[in-house]
Amino acid sequence: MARLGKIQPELMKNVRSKQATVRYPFVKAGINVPEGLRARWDYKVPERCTGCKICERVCPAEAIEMIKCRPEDSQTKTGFRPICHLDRCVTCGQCVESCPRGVLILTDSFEMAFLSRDDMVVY
Amino acid sequence: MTSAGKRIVIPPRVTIPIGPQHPALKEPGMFKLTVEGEHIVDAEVNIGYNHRSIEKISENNTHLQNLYLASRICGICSATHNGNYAQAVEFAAEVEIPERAKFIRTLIWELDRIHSHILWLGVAFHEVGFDTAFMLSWRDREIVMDMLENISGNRIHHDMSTIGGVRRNISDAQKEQMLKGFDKLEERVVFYRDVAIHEKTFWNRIDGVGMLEPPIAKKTSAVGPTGRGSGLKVDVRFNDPVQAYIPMIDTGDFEMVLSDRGDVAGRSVVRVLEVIEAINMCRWLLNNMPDGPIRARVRPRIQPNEVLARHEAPRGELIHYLITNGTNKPDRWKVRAPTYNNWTSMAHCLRGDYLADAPIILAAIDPCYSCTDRVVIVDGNGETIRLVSLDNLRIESNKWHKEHPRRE
Repeated sequence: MARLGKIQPELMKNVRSKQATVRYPFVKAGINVPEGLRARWDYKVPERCTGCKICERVCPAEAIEMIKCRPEDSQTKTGFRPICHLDRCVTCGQCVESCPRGVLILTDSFEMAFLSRDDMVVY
Repeated sequence: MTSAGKRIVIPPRVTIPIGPQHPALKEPGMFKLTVEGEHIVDAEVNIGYNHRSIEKISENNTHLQNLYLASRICGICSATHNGNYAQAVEFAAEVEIPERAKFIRTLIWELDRIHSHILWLGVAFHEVGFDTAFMLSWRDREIVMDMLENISGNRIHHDMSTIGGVRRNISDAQKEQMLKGFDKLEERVVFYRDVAIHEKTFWNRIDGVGMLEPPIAKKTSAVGPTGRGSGLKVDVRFNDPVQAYIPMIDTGDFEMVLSDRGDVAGRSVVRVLEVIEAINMCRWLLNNMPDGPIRARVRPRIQPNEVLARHEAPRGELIHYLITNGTNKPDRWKVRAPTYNNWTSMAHCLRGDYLADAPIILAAIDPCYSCTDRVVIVDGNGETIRLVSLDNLRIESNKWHKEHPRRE
């Protein structure tokens, strides 16, 4: 039953076929980013935020922190606004789902490597 | 003739420790193989180097947060842990989830099985030194990975199940795309099945290696493809169906894949044929998916209850045991991952085989170290780590429970 050479025709076919991988950091064309990818957290609509802290409470990774609104921020009802620490974020999207006013989103920008933890705080 | 020519040399018994940190192992595990020459005469398996105290963390988290924690027990079968925890909480709350949610959850489970088995096949090819097929099979695994990413938004941690249903719906365009993908995938998997069975370089390395006879498989309670490769009829999908498996199995179109070979070849054949079966199951699920809502509302506080949720993960039967206490946090959550059952059978498989076959025998149960590690006691003051035997653990746990009675 067992014999040699079952894979040879496949090998010959692959000599002429297109490359399966993309030379990613140099070439970005050809990366398949689907619609609805869960990646970088974003505070999309600050005007609608009430500072209710639901997102902080549901976050399984304790990545969301509520800070006092800075002068340049849009002021919320309770005076607090969320920030996200990307080093702890697991991109589960529970905050987006739990937010009653649709303030938060997860964007599809997936390049999240930084040199310092301070750069990983999303305001 | 001198007597020196007739002398029989008995090789000394040598015990080779492999691990916990070893270049050939991707995860920390310790194997002590006693060899006589090239034959393995005894094997000892030690685990417990990857303890993350997930069960303890879960007691301070809400059920909703635990879903994501459960999903991170294992990277390869994240959907099974996530879905099974959701199922356990639903059992405890005694709520019925919508039909469409059941179908989508089952679909994710089956897609997870397809990608896990193709991944295993690639690893098996790699372990016997057949790297061409390893790379080809992993290339074609991308088809199913893309499907999962497309539906759930993440390649590995799908997190599709939530308490009361699923988080995302499947559109008609996605359905058409997936059906097209399955055609391509099936063609490729049939090719890999033929490669696994007919290619001499692979088949001769796995034929008759790592024998696990059915009585011993039963005695060591092997589950999943390890058990089914030895002819044991253990498959929760068929024995105790849940979710959309109930209508699917009732159609009678699907059969449990069994092999009576009992060696690594048997386990490989079971896995490859299961992929084809899983593709057919996914097609059936997509074509018969009912319309309707995908999520039922469940109150965050779950009534006091004690439940056992079972599910057939890619590696075998997965059990989540959950005690709820009327709050939104679990009182106790116990995970019994399938690899835990298969460890004991592996020590038996190793005995009597060649040392060179040890990697493929170790890989044949598809071990997942992170799933398994539960009992290692770390003493912060004394700075010691020790593994605990079952008897000692029982004594210690009885003592602990006496000192900490359960809150009423």
